[in-house]
Amino acid sequence: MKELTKGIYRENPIFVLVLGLCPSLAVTTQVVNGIGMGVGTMFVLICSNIMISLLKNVIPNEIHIPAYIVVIASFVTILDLLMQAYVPALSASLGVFVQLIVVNCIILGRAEAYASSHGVWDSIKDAIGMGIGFTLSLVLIALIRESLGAGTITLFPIESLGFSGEISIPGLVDAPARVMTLSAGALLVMGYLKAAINRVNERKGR
Amino acid sequence: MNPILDRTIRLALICSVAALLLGFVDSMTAPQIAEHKRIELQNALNDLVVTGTAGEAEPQDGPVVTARYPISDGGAVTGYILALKGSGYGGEMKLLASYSLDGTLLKAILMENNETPGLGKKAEKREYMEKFTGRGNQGNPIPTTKAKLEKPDAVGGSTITFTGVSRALAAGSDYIREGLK
Repeated sequence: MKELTKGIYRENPIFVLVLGLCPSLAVTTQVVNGIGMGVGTMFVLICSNIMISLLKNVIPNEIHIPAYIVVIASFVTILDLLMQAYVPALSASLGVFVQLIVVNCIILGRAEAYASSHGVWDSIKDAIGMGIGFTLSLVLIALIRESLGAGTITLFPIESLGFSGEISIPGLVDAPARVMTLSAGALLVMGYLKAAINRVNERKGR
Repeated sequence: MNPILDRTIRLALICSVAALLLGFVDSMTAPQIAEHKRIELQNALNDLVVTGTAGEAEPQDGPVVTARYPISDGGAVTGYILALKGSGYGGEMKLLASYSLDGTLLKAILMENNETPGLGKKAEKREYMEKFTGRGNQGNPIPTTKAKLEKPDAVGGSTITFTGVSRALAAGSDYIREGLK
């Protein structure tokens, strides 16, 4: 159980391990992108952790990085093709960010730090926990950035219910703080959240 | 075995398995992806025609205009849909736009692009193009800077996307007015 829950808070990939920040800060302009990117990353993370855990005795130490990159890049390309074929709307809205999962340090980081020295079952649990922690962190950053920066919360549209996917926040939508949707806003939100989490952990430590 | 040869063989094996798997997934998804693209293009063409029907694509080799589809209504050509390319914040953007014969922009759609979600990507929305439609004829050019807009606030942020879209649309209008050259 510890393997599964550690990624959510204690070893949260964004706020504690501080891994994979570039794509994370780039996509969090809308909540829907945070969810899409988080779930996509979790899929690649689970597949690559399984594969690397299975191959750990086959891959010699000297070539482990290129071998991991081949495995990760293959799964990202598979995800990209499957999304283009079966969920074209999500694929169009995430655009170039799907390909960016390849260079997300979380995936290579977990392969290197965990899957290469643990069994398949533990590696799957690690991947799910890290994936959930990553997705929740992205959604939290995106929620703050989008509501302050654009005055909206964008989710998936549900046509049968007539829900367009966009919730407008009265008051903020007419006068949003535009800087929050830009790169500077991403760093500001990240910095404040990291500080808050450090403070909580410090208090716990005392 | 020589350790270098051993590592080379192992890496080559991993790469071949990955290549096989990718080839399989590609062959499985390629027809679906092509079909989505075809439907998307067809929907966009249908949406752009105000009256009449769009004909077959005629490829063009201009710097901005890459293809044209004549719109005919009752046998006479009443306008053209142009496939345009512009340069945005995330690289090349593809647009489709319909014009009447005097160069007036009737409708426009932003197709493939890599603009930033929440900022430049807003150009995909129908309302975005409204500030350009009905313009482009003699004495009423398509605005290519935000200063020339009646309501500049409507495009807050993303100046590069705006400039890319508006210049491509203006070039399309010029192409029609200059006798399809």
